[in-house]
Amino acid sequence: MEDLVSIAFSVAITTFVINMIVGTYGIFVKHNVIKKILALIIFSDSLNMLSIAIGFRIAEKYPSPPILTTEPRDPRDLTQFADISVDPLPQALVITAIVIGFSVFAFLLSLAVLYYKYNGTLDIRTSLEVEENEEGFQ
Amino acid sequence: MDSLGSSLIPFICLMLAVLVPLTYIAFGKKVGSVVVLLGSITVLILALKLFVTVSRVGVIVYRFGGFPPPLGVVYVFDEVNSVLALSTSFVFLLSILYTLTFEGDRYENAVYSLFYLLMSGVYGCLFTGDIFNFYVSIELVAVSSYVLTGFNRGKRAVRAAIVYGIAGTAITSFLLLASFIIYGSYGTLNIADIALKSRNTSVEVLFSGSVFGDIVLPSKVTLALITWIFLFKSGIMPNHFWLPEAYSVAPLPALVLFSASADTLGIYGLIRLYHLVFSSESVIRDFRATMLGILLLLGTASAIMSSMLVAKQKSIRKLIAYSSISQFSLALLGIVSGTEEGLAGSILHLVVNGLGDAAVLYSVGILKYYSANLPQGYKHKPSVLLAKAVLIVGLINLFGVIPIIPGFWSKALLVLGFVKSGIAIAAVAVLVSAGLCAIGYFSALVRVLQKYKNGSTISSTGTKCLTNVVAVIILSLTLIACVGLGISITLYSSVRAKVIELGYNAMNSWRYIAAVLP
Repeated sequence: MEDLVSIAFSVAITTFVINMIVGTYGIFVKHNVIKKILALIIFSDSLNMLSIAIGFRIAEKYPSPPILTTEPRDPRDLTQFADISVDPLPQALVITAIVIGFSVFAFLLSLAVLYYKYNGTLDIRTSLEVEENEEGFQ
Repeated sequence: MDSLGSSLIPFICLMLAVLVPLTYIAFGKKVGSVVVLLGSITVLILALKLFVTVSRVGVIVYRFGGFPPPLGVVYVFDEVNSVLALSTSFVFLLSILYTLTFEGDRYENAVYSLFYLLMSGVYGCLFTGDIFNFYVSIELVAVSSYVLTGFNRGKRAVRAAIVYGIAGTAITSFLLLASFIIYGSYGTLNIADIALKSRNTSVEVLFSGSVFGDIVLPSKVTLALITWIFLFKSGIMPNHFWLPEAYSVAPLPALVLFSASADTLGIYGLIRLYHLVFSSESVIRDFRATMLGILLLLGTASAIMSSMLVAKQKSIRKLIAYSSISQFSLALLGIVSGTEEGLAGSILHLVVNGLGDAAVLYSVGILKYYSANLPQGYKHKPSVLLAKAVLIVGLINLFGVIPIIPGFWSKALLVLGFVKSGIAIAAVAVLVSAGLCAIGYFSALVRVLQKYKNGSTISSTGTKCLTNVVAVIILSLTLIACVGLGISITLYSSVRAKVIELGYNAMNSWRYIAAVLP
């Protein structure tokens, strides 16, 4: 069972890393603003997943969420909890990152709408060429 | 209790970012303007109090919620961040005064909210002793910077904001990744705890325990990633592509705030990264030395190339943009030198660049205002003459050749640091960059004086008495700060010793660690 979990964990980590590489490629290579923002979202979400995975642990049988449910608490429950529960800190930090990301993406999308309104295109390269020509004529 | 008021600075800014628009809506423009102004004065007073307290007692630690470090978040106040907080607060007050008086009608109350949001992030980054809190604060700075960049709307502003926003968000996400790599290998996010464990891998710290497995590779990846992020944040070439565009479209006071506060954070972060977190005693000292070698090459190339571009600029905004890249590159070289003088020069250079940019941009802004609103022959008005004097002092400050101006001392300290550490190429870069920049500065001076030689020929609406008074206040404060700092460094050896002590304190990482983890 533990071997299976280890393999699944490794596959998940590899997937997140591949997604991040794809996202980075999209951010820096694609010229369409919406594609750039989508790539940024893929990159950011993969990074969040990878961060949560850092707090994961492979425990006997299966790891538990970081919530102690037994009442009244026995010292043995606490020991068991410390042995099998995943680290809650990365999850708490990722929530913060998700909230920040949400506001940034909302703002970037509104900028993309404005960009289309001003230029009639979402291609950053085309818009740059037009402006360079305009400057050249001046 | 010494640290309570200072730790409130970011929260006062955050609170005002919300309160200011509400005050404008509920009580109107006059009350709103008073709140905006009083807020910036309060922040300056608290920053001044912090500076005095830190100079008296040394490092101060504020524990949020009373949690003992490395549990919880701490704010750490020392000489380095208190100096930068003071200079930032001073420029912030000037920016608020300028916006209220000269651009208040043009921009709505949202701009003040964004200024306060930006400053909240800047103070958070300066004071925090926690790497994740640093990430949150830098995101706050970044988001408000993107909005301010696109604030004027229009084709160019929106494009600049998109380019800055997408690249900036991607790059600050790497800071999040670096934070988690650190947490995964060191078991902590507290900067002092990381610094301690990077020196002694066998140390056991209460609550965070010891390191997990081999920390060498994660530390190397983190150092490289965070270095790249900070180089982007300060616009060091080749990561500068966003900076000239953002500087040429942002509102003028926002541009001053970028150059004097937000964009200095990259250099400040690198000081902490290379002289506190991964110092010369860390387990990756060889890799650190390699990275410093790369930074030396990057800093030298960036300083010289951006100075060449300064000489070519026709617009004052682009001139300030490339000049800032050049000055930040020189400050980066100060970090590479690894000497007290070099680091002190680096910190002083950040302060000097902020003051110089504020002097140049606000004097040009005020001259432009007078030129448009006063009739022919306005040039003999005392405030116009003062504006011209401040412009000259600001440009000389950026050039850095006259001893009574602080720009000279920051460059002198940098060169002294390079000579001490035997990095001749960096000393040459300072001189070459100063020479090349001088061409741009003096041609800009001639152009500005020529352009605003005559008053308005179409219609002269005249100026209000209050506007004149505020213009004189802004110009006088800038002049006093520039010349006063320069004269005090020139005349008093104790002030010079204090400045050099800044470099010593920046390198004295054990003092920082001992204060946080007693």
